[in-house]
Amino acid sequence: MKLLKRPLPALFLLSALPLLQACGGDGSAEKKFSVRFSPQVGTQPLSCSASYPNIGKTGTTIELLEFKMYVRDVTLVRANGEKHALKLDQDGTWQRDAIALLDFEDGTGTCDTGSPETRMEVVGRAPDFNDYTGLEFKVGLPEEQNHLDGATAPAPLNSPGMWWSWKGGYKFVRLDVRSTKNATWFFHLGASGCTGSTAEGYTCASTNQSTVALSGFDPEANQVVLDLAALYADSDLDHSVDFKTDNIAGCMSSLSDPECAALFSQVGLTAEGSPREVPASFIRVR
Amino acid sequence: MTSRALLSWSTAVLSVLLLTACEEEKKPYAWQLPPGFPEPFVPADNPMSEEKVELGRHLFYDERLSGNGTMSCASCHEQQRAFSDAKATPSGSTGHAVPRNSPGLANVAYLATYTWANPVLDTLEKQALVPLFAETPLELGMGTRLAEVLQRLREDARYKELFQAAFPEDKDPIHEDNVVKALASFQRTMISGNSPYDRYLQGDSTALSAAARRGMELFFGERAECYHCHSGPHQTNSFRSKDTKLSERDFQNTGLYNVDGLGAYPVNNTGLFEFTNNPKDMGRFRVPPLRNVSLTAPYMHDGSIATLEEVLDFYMAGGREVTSGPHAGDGRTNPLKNPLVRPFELDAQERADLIAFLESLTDMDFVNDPRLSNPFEE
Repeated sequence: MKLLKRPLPALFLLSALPLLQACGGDGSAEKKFSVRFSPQVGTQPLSCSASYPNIGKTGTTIELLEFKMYVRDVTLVRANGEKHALKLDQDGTWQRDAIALLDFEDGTGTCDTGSPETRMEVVGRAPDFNDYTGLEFKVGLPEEQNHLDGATAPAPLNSPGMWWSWKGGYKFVRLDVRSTKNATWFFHLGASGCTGSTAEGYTCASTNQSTVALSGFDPEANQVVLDLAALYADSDLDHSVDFKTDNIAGCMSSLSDPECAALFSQVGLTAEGSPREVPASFIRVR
Repeated sequence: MTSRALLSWSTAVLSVLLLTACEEEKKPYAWQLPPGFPEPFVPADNPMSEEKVELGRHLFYDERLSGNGTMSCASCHEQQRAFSDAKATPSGSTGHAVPRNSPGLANVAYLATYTWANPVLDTLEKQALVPLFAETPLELGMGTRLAEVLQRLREDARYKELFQAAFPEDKDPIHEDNVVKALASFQRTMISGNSPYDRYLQGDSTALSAAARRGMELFFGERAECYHCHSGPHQTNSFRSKDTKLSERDFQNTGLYNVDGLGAYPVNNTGLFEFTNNPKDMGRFRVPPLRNVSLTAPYMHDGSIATLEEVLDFYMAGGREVTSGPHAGDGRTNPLKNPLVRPFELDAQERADLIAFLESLTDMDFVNDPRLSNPFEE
């Protein structure tokens, strides 16, 4: 009987919760936040049915073929620096644990390898403060979850086309475009130089882990821009592959791939795959 | 306790008992999946059952299913060849030339789309209609003589039993819809997961020879670049399981032909273009899975490459130059070719290693599995 009496104060608190929530903004309750992503070329929205001129060092014209990416540990930062990781909705398709898949193509137009579904946001709960001014997230998957079985792993880790192999792991970013000279110009960001086996596990020379930190980000008002014009600014999307120093038009993340360095810098990686500051160009706040 | 309360209480107990009884009847189909194989996708209107699989197995091997009684599915899909037929392209039951190669059927349950290039055939049920009913090319030719084919089945007491067991709620179960459902159910059991490569993935580090392991490195490496398209557990990016959420529609032009210099493929084999009429889909075909690939020669959608050695030559050259005949043209410069198909070099040892890896995908248990064999020869 003693035990029965104890929960009563807690019950009172619970009934008072709606009142507290009504006040809002002081962090005593949780609130649903949507961190929105805006794929763009310059200031134009990115679409599967448009051409975008003046891209990269040669001013080529690009069309989108495919664009998906994994992000994780999406965290809101208060004005005082306090960080609150979003507790992601576990929706069974796009989000699991702290990992979210974003899908920026709708399978129409030039994006004919893709799925009709799109996903432009990360949705989760965080304490309800009204002074969130920053955003942090990591790109891709952590090494310990990067060598799962892409067939049996739970969604969103079973997206076909985002998985290379047990050894290679997942594509953290898959961005394929057509340029004037190249039918496909790839940017597949992932770990590289991996060795091992399913039985013994894998280790990778470059795990290519990067963290994006954005200031001036109010989740209610702002979006995360992913600007392809800025991403490709220092790349030549029209170069022809010589099949000696370079096998593929674009970057497949291997250390010897001459086209990776210019792209890596835009996602916060040195040419060797170590973290560095992310410039406010490809990924920035709008 | 009042009598009314007692009544409702006993009703509740009774209904729980009834529910349990129903649930027992509907117990899920017992997949016998190799380690690491997810449950295949199964359409909601055709749940798996042992009985459907057994019926489908009979139908698959039964020549009475063709209009003129001369061919069964197994005529072009022989178990000993991992359910392919060793022909470049087969002929239908009435002699029609079929323009495309009979593909092996190992793990077809996991494909996202069916046939070489059709983007809308996304279940084995829809696929089955093609060989059964299509008229150009005519394969089994069941459509033109449907009543006659069904009558043959109705007259066989064995089928009466098999259909009744498979479709117990259907008063008159011998009809084409159930034929299709049973065939699809049987094909979903064509699971191949005990090749040396599978055993290696399952943790047996001795399952692969040293050569096959070196070949595997090449297969999954950036030089040979096989794995970008032959990705995933069955070496194809066409994949769907029960839990797959996002579909992928990936068809590739590998530079086999270039008859007009603008990328054209022979008119009877234009791939995805045949269905979409979109010029950039010319010559694009679904990436075939590679389990048991050493048993499924000849290769490519039209069987135009005879051996695995020649397949390596083809990919190392970054496409194929056809030097004479009506299909002459340089596929290596096909403008619609996937850029990942580009020249690369392998020395003799590396070639042998890559072949050894492809041979390690052969699953002899699959081709000898009695559950997949001809029931009329038992």
